[in-house]
Formats: sequence, C-alpha cells, structure tokens
Amino acid sequence: MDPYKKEIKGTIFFFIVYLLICHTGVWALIYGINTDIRILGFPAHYFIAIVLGWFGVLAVSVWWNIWADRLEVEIRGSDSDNAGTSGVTRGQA
Amino acid sequence: MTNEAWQIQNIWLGIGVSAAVFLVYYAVAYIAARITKDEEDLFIAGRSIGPVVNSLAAASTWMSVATFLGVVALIQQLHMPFVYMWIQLILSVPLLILFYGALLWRLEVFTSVSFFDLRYGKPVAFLGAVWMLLIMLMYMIGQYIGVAKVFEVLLGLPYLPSLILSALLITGYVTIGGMKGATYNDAIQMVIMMITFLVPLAAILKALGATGYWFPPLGYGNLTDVMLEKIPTFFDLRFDPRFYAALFVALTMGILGLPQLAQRVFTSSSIKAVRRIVPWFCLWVGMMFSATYAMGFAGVYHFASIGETLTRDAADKTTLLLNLAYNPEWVSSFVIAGVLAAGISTIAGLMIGIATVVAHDIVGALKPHLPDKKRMFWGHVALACTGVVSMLISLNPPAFLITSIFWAFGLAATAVTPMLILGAWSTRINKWGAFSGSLLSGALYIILSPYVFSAISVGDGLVAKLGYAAALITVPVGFMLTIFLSLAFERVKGEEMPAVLANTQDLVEKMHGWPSVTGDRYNGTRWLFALCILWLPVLIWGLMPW
Repeated sequence: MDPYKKEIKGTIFFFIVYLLICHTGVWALIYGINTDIRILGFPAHYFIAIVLGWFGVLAVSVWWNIWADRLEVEIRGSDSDNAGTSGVTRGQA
Repeated sequence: MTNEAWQIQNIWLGIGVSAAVFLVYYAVAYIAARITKDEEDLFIAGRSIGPVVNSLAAASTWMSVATFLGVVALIQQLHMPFVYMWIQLILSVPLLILFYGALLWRLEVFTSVSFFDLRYGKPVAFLGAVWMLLIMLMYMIGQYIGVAKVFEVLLGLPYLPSLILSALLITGYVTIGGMKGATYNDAIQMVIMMITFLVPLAAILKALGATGYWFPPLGYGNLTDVMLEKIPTFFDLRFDPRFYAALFVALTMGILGLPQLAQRVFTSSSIKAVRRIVPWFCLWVGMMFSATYAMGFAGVYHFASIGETLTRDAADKTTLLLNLAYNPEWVSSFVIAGVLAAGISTIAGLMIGIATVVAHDIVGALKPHLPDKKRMFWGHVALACTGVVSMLISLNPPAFLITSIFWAFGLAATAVTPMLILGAWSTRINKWGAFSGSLLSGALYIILSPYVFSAISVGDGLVAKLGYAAALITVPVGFMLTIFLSLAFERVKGEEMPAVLANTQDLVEKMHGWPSVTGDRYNGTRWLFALCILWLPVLIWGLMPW
C-alpha cells in the first residue's frame, strides 16, 4: 500500500482501537451487565475495563510502535522514489 | 470526623520525610542547573531525554494530588461510572503522540503554541496561548491548593503559611533546574508515588482479607460478594449513554490538547524515543490507575464494613485514613511524601509550560532577536514569576478558576484540539478558519457552561459542572467551524491562497517525515466533510435536553 494512504488509514485504525479498549462503558451499556459473571472474582465488566485500560492499551501501544517504525522506513524509501520522478525538493514547492 | 482523625500523631516524622525528599529535588535541580546552557536546555531539556525517564516524567506530570486523594473520594461518590471516566485518561499521551506529538517533534518546536505560530501565524498563536494559559492556570491553582491542604490537614500547619511555603519550595527548585531538573525530578517523583501508593495498598488489602494482596491492582476480587452485599449498586452503570459519549467528546478530545504533556514529548532525544514513551507511559499510568481503583474499592469496602458514612471532606482523605487504620504511622509519612510528589510534579510541568509560552512563545514573538543570555535570563524570570503569581492567585482565587479541571479539559477539546489536529493533518485548514473556529467555539463553551451565564447553560448537575453537556455541543461546533470557515476563507481570500497553501504544504509534509514535497498530500477535502458528517449526530444529541 502507498505509505501515504497507509499512514492515514493506520492512524485512524489505531485511534479506533484505542477508543474501543478505553471506553468499555459503552460496551457495557450495549451488552448489559451481570455481576454474577466473574473473572478473578470481579464482575466481568469491571475486570474487562481495568485490564483493557492497562494491559490492552499497553499492547496496542507496542503494536503501534512497531507499525510506526516500519512506516517511517517506507515513507523514506517511497519518498526517494518520488523525489526522483514527480517529487519536488522541499523549499522549491 | 475531625481533622485529627487523618493527621499523623508524630508531625515531625511527616515533616522530616517531606524535607528529605525536597532536599533530593533541590540537589537534582542544582545538578541540572549546571548543565543548562541555553533556552533549549531550560525549556525542552536540550531534546536529550530518553523514553523511560520521559515516560516516568510524563506519567508524573499526569498524576496529580487527585490520584491520591480526590479520585478515591469520587469512586466512593460515583462508584463504577467514575472508573470508566478515569480509565480513558490513560489515552492522553498515546493519542497526543499518535496525532501530533511525533509530528511536531520534527519541527523542533518548544510548545503547541510555537506550532500554531509556524502553521497559522501570530494571531492564532496568541489566541492559542490565551486558551492554554487559562487551562494551565486553572490546573495549577487546583494543585497549589491541594498541596497546601496536604501541609495543612495532614501535618497540622495553618493553611496560609502552608500555601506560601509549598509554593515557594516548588517555585525554587523548578526555577533553578528548568526542564532538565524538572524532568529528572518528575521521574523520581513517579517512582516515589508508585512505591508509596502500591506497597501500603498491598498491606491494606491484606488486612481487609484480599487473597491477591501481593498484586494490588487486581488482587481484591474475592471481596466482591461482600461489597455487593453492602452496596448492591457499586458496579452499576447509573448514567445514560450520553454520559458515556460525553466522556469521549469532552475528556478524550480534551486531554489531547493539553500543552504540558505535549511539551514533555518535545524533550525527547529522537523520533523513536518519542514513540517509545507511549508503551512505557501506559505501563506506569495503568499500574497507578488500577491501584487507585483498588484503593477506592478498599475505602468503600472498609467504611461500609464498619457502618460509617464519610463526609465529602473526609472522603478526600480516604487513602490516609486507610493507612492510619491498617499500617504503622511511619508508613503514612511516606504516603504524604507520595501525595506531595504527585502535586508538585504536576505543578512543575505546568510551571514550565506556562513559562515557555510566556517567555519563549509570546516574548520571543515580540522580541525575536534577543541574545541567548538574555533569553535565558528572562526564561528564569518567567519561571519564578509563574510560581509566585500562581501562588498569589491561589491565595484568593476567583471562582471561575477553581471550577473542576474536567471543565478545563472540555475547553481544550473545544478551542485547542480542532486547530491542532486539523492543522497537523490537513493543508486546507488556514489561519482564518482556525482563529474564528477556536474563538467562537471557545466562547460558546464558556457561555453554555453554568459559571458565567447560568440562565442559558445546558444540562444540570454533574454533567453541566464538568462541562460535559456544553462540550457535546461545542466540540462538534469547533471542528465544523474550523473546517467550514477555512474552506470559505479560501474562496474569499482568492489571491492570497496559492502562497498560503504552498507554505502550508511544505510545513505539513515536512512534519510527516517526507523529505521532499509532492504537493498532493494532506490536501483533500472529502475527509474533512466526512468528519463534519460524523460530528453532526453528536451535535444534535448534545442539543437535546438533558
């Protein structure tokens, strides 16, 4: 994929993932809550909120780091291709 | 419940521990001062900070007195919904770096205001500076009052001398050490906070009968049944969907625009170091937040078990009350050091944020050719003045400055975030749209809140006071106005536009890491219209009566 489109789509994707894992109150509203369903003794919606709000967001952040590092390399590579064809050196635009 | 209930008996123990940690902070500031050579060192630590230290410093800036005191009280008041409200605050640094932190780092700016100056010009930079100074001042005064109350209530000192003493102590070490000193001190303070919160919490949970006390954030599940017997509604959602939507609109979008966190990012040593802050930050903040919920749970559980109902004032001291109830007194003196660390690290970040905006962005814009030595001198003066002026305002703060900090997040979401995000991702947003959008939507937010014109405010109760009801209207308006007015001014300013667009194109592509400009990136309008369409139902929802 063109790194330019990849950057935009990837940023929107990670934004949505971050929102989904840190706004689990909305999930609880949609699916309802039942304090009899337990994980490690906690009501499921409480446990999910805490775990996703810590380990979930941590895992996504590691994932984003790997993705962003690779994208940066692609942007540099793609840009040198561009500069040789249709691109203009900065400052001349 | 009297003040004595949460004061430690041996005041000298508390004062001794607090004095010892302040000595450490001053020593670090002194060392940092010796390696601070220019304005870049003073305000952005010479762009030399690695991700672990920076993540600890950012986490420390983000953790305030509320983490130790206010949050636990709010969990007692709001139960589960407050946990949902707090959890998403961890997104501050991840989203800030995802959307613009890494991009702005490439521009070598000192603050978001410097970005506004580069991207839109001075009028927008000055407007951004006004909003940011207001937000940071509100934040800072709350922290000053909080730290003074720690001295007053927990150590038994009178309020006024407590405020003056704590403000001068903090101002002193931040002025001496600048950003380098503040960053390393903030990192130390975060470690102090984690130890002084988590270790005593484990002992409290053990005493309450939690089987997983050795891992406090998730170790109290076996107490759930007793909690549900005592307070059957503890895990209920309580609020309607609009409340949860407002958490995203007012808080998530607001914390994105906070200048003191953005400035932390700009101290990074490389673009990779900027990105690496994110997972480390999530590790530290997630740990502290989860422990805070555990402390809140323990507080509610403890007082429900002994059949005592706490006043709001007493509830604020739950962390201390639990420590005094279950741990030896010397532990509480360390907890006090943790509370102070939480307050002063936040103040330090805000002080540097305000001083940089004033000395670098505003004075720098008015007097761009000042020599380095004079810039350093005025930088130190700005730091000292920020501390002293904030202290003087805190002595008798105007009512509008001590409204909830959550209200200030709504203002940031409305007046700052749109022009930051849109400016970083679209070349079609221009200075006229950014200025008018920010000014009009920011003014609308203030008008619709209950603090100025209460007769025309929207919503009532908690959602109005925290700015949620107003933000549900003004954040969509802020984005839509910025977009539509930018595109409208493009037509009105026909002859000026090609030059403006060319400069913007150059800047925006450079921010995103493209070493050469093609002229066809980030300049589409379809996604801007799509964004407006997405905000429209939120706006309509916000306009419906609460």
